[in-house]
Amino acid sequence: MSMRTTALRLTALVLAAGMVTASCGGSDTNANEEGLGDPGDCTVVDMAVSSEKIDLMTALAKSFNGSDDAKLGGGCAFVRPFSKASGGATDLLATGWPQSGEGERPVIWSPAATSWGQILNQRLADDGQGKLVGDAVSFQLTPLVIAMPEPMADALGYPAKPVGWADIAKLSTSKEGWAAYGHPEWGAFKLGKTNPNFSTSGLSALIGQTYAAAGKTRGLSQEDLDNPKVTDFAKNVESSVVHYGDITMNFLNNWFRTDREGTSLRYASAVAVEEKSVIDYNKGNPDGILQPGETPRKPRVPLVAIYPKEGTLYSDSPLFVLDADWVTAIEKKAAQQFIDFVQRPSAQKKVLEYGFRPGNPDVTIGAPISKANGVDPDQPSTLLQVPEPPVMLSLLQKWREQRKGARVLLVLDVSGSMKEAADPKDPNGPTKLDLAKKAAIEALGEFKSDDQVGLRIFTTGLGPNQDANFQDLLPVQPMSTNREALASRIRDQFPQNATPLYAVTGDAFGDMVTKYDPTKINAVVLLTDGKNDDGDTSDDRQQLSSLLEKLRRGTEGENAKSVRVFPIAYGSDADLDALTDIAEATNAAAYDASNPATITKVFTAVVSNF
Amino acid sequence: MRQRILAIVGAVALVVVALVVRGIVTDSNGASGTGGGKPVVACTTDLMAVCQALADSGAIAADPPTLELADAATATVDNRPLDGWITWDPAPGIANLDAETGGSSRPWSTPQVLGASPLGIASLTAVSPSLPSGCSFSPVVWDCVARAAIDEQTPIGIGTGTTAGSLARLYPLARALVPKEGNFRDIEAAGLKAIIESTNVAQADFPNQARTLVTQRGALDILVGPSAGLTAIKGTRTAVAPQSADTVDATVVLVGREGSNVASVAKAATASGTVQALRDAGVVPGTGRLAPEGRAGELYAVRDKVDS
Repeated sequence: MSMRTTALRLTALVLAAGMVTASCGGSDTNANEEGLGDPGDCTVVDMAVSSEKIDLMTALAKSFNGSDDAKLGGGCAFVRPFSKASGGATDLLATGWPQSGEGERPVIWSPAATSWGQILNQRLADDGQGKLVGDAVSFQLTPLVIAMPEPMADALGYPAKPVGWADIAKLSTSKEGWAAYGHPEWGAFKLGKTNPNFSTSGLSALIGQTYAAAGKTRGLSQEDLDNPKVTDFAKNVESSVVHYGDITMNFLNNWFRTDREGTSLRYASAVAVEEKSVIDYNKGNPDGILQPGETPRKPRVPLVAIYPKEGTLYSDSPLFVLDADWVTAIEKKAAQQFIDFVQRPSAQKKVLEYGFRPGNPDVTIGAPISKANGVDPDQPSTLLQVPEPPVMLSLLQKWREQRKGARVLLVLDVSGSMKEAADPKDPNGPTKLDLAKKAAIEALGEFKSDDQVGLRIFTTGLGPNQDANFQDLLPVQPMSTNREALASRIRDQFPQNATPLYAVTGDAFGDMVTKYDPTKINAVVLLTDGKNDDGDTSDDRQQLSSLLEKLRRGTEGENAKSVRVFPIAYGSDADLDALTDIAEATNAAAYDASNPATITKVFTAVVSNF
Repeated sequence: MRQRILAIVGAVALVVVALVVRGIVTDSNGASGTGGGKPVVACTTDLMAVCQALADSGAIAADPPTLELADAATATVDNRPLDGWITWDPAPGIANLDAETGGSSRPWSTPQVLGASPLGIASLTAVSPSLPSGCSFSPVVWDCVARAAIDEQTPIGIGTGTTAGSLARLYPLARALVPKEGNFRDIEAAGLKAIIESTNVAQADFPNQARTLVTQRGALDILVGPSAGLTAIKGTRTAVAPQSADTVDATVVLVGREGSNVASVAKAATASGTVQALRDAGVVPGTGRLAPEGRAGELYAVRDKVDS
């Protein structure tokens, strides 16, 4: 295999492996099939779509199914969208989409961006297989922007003064922070960016900042990436990152929650997101999904979309009809009818309603893409060229070393309930702890050598006197020395007693605050399968309240030391509500692994924050 | 007896003549035995709607194939002989040069014009493209447009510089790059490439770039194309060259394979469906004239430079 082939395969693998997890926590499901009804005898067109547009595609499918547009010869077409992260779908398609609970094999695939189709074809070519996707029309678009609270954008002089990645890099390393702009109360500049191995937004932001560093808009090369100036620029930008993560939704939800508390300007100064997200946020719907009964509430401090002066990229939502052996001629015909349908002005107006830019030029861009919602329909002024796959691979590899380092304490629940079978239907199969250990060990591979990671287990009755709630098995040390020992210690664990969740969480947080390192992302990863159980249920509520107060106090204010607690609610008995409160108190995110079979994906998603 | 022999000879001669005439008629209709008696006519990709309209009207064989300039030197598609080709002038002439260069005879006869429109430029109304000093958006000065791409890195939609439609659009910019006392063979390839590579998205045909201009802000600042097509794009302003030597037409032509007769197709092109398809392609049906004879050679040279 040639170096180039290897590089392309690695690019695809890195991107795809990451994106598999990108919508863990329940969004990568077939849940949106609900409400579509029974296809009856119609030709079913299963459709894998990236998560940001699942609601829109479901709405369009509902309009299409049963309509005259769906008539197909003497029969009918029936479209059934389901959410699948772009990278995850790429990985599945590259391996023939195994029938393993990942959704039906799709007829149409709509990733966030066309580049995923190119990566898929490249992977298939490397394996000696033909293309699965050809040319496709972009039925909607949304550009990557830097979202910034309006007062901060005003302080920078935007939009009268263009702002770009060069300004972000400068702000990131400014000792004065916002004081240089007359606002010492906002503290240091803090940037939110998703992990480019997982998220299309993260990847687009990384490409954008690298082009800015190289002073180019096209033809990014390996030589550019090796240029010390480009490397320094990248390190400067990354130095201000709050944390990374798999989805931009976590940043937006935290921003929205802190907005209610009046502290949003201290949580993050800017986050790289898609333009659509700014519209959703300013309309009071930060995650873009309105749950039944949820009423949008406009934020006190709206966001402004900054279109980087050096240029940006679009997520262009192609609709690929797969040239796969499982797709029949009649399914292709049915798929094409739906594709024609979604490009019609009536459907394109719905695209616009959802905050995307229409792919049909006959539908003029208008509300909600308007300055009233913090976005500018006449921007961006410059579009960047998507780099060649080998350059993207190199970019991602370099990012792994240039990203902000992490200082993480893994806190692992080894309570007695972890001995339960992970799958109740298979009592002789692996236990919950077996799967958790495997997931934790696999996730260790995501840490770089100078990340510092430690291991703490918790349950009641630990220690020589059997009165301790936790035990530190390995101190927080560089992975260069800890990696093997961590895997070994995790592997050795066995289920023991009760679950003193609140006390242990408070202690872990306190210990990490004590040894806080401002140059790193400081975090606790807390995996637990149960509710607080320390032998006395009478004070649980008080304990949680005190814990949340302690976490908030440490996270907010002038002298705050931001230690993020990322809990994983493991198994159906875990207290997801309490864990969500804990995560939110530290401006982090809770992850739902209520189905133990998902723990590897979820653990990897959690570690994507670093 | 002599009369009877003469009568038999005459009858045989008439049969032979009838067979010859039938063969000629069959050939001239272009049926070639592959189109169910109807001429098989191909179109370049950006003009497929024109072919489809002709097929829908029954004037040409159903399922018309696509034929790009790069494959047009043999007048066949998948080894099926074609009777005609609808494309942009002077692509048939360039294809004939390709054939001659390859040692074959010219596959295409003289084209007939189906419609034309002067080339112009369009820009989003909200965008002010970077132009060289002393240049303005309107009226079009092709030298300014070329230098905008080369000197100002203004992204210009012009196509790949290798297809029939793109070469037609590129012609006035290429002409602006011809050195004084020189010809098209003397154009600096770097200048042509700078124009083609001025945009960070892939160059494409006119309909796709018209879409890109509107839907992907930042991708193109200026789009070059037939002005009738440009004015149909919402949210844009259009400019054309003043009525002078600067005016260059983009012209859609129908060309028959040497020896075939596509007159019936040309006649059918005046039907409403085909007229609308021509309008959608950006030209005014029934107008225009063929480019001067030398243009095929000039654009042959331009394509060589772009490919080099």
